Formats: sequence, structure tokens, C-alpha cells
Amino acid sequence: MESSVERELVRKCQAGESRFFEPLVRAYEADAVRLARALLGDVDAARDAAQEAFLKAFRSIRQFDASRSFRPWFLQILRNQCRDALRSRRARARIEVRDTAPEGRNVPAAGEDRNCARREASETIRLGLARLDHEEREIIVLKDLLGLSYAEIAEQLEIPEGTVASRLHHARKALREVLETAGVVQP
Amino acid sequence: MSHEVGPDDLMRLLDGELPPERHAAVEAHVRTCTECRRDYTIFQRMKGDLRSMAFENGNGPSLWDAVSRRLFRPSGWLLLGVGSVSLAAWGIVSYMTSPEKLWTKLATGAVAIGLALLLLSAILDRLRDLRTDRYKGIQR
Repeated sequence: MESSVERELVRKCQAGESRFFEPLVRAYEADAVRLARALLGDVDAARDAAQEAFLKAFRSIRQFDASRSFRPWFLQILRNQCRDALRSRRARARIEVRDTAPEGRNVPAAGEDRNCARREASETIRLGLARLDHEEREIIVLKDLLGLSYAEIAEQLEIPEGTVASRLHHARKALREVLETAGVVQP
Repeated sequence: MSHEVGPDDLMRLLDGELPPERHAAVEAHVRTCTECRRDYTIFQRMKGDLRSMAFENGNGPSLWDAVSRRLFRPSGWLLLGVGSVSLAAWGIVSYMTSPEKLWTKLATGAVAIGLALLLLSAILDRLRDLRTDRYKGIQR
């Protein structure tokens, strides 16, 4: 979405015209569900978290500086929402271990349908992500799934830009180790 | 990686975040160093899988439908509340000023107040239970 259009929409929302919130929701809902799904693990929880984050964003939009971009601000709210969801899930001892990946799983054989292989690779990566720490998972998702730049990640995580590369390296190394253990990546 | 190219450089190369003056040197190193090339290839494949990751977003309706419903819900409750209170007040005033006998008015008032108190105590009990219910998050 063009930044001038986005700014105008935010200003209208700040003036209390809630119908102008719709284009913002539609513009960012795919990213929101993708991020929440990667952090929470299942699509229903992800949709709930995204919905809650949009509501919180609308309710506090008057405090938002309209000269800044809406996306990083909203993603921050969503990440906090996901963190709260994980915390309450843990508090209720309802962590579902959804690890259904068979040990020693191999990369799809050559000649297999490409889409099927891609789906399988995605599924394996997703299960690998689920085994990482929240912080490791978060930085990988921000970079590789949402395509944020190092500067944007630094802003999101409130860390110096110089730290992003080393955190990413640790997180990717951890993911690689998980995938190697599962037999997906050859050491 | 015990040479002039560190893991951070490798990450920056992978993510296209290297400054131009450093890019050529790091790229040349990765091309010639077996260890770095292997790491780079593995990370690149992982990144590719992540980027094309087909996370299902659910085929349900857009989030806007649910968000808008919840945005407008408080206005609905407010209107319902204001309307109900106004109607109740009008009903009470009309009834109290009607030519009915006093004992009929008192008996009707007692029934109405009794019902209201019972409803209120049931609501309060339910709210107290919700706060302490350990199974409220369980989906049936």
C-alpha cells in the first residue's frame, strides 16, 4: 500500500471513521496470519491472534504517530499478542505437541511432483521452526517469511542493527541443526 | 569460519544486506572456500523453503468481517442498554401513575425487583466462576 494512502487512512481512523480501517485490515491480514501461524503453530489460533491485534490496533490508533508506517507498528502489536497467547497457553498447560514428523525423514525423491515436494519441504520447515525458541523463530520469520530488512527487524525487536546478522546466524544454525537431526538437511 | 569472512558476513550476503564495497570480497571468498560455500548453500536452501512456505491462511472469510463485527458491537450494546433503560423507566412511571390500586402496584414491583435480583445474582455467580474456571480454555 502506498504510504500516502496509508497515512490518509490512518488519519481517518484516528478521526473515528472506522470504515477506513477496512483497507488496512485487508492489506495486512495475509502477513498477519502468516506471522501468527509461524509463531503459534496453528491456523485457528493465528486468525484469532491477528483479529485481536487488529482490534487493539484500532482501539489505540489515536496514540499512533501517523507520519510513521502502519505495518511495523501493527506487527509489534501482533507479536505481543502472539507472545501473550503462548504465555496463557503455557499457563493453562495446554501446549499441544504437534510433532508428527517422522524421524529420519528424507527430502522428497527426485521426479516427484514439484508442488508436493514444496509442500512437504514447507511442512518440514514449519515443524523445524516449532522446535526453536520463540526468539529464534521470531527473527527467522520476520526475515524470511515477511521479508523485513535488517533495519526493520532491528526496529521491531528493539535491538541494534548490527546485532541482527549474528542473531539470524544463531537462529538459522539452530534451525539447521533441527533439520539435520530430522534427516532433512545433510550435515 | 575462522577466516576473514565471518558468519555475520555470510548472513548479510544471503540477505542482500552487505555494503557494496564488501560484497565482492565476501562473494569471492564464498566461491572459493568449501566450508563457507556449503554453509551458504544450506542456508540459501532453507531460506528458499521458508520464503515459499505455503502457510495456509485458512479459507475462511476475510478477517475484516470478524473485526468489523467486534468494532461495531459496543455501539449495539450501548444502544440496547440506553433503549432498555428508557423503556423500563417509561414503563415504571406510566404504571405508577396509572389508576391501578396501590397493593397491585406494590405486588408487581416486588415481583419485578425479585426477578431482577435473581438474574443479577446468577450473572455475578457466572462471572465469578469464569474467573476461576480452570477448564475455560478447553475447546469442546
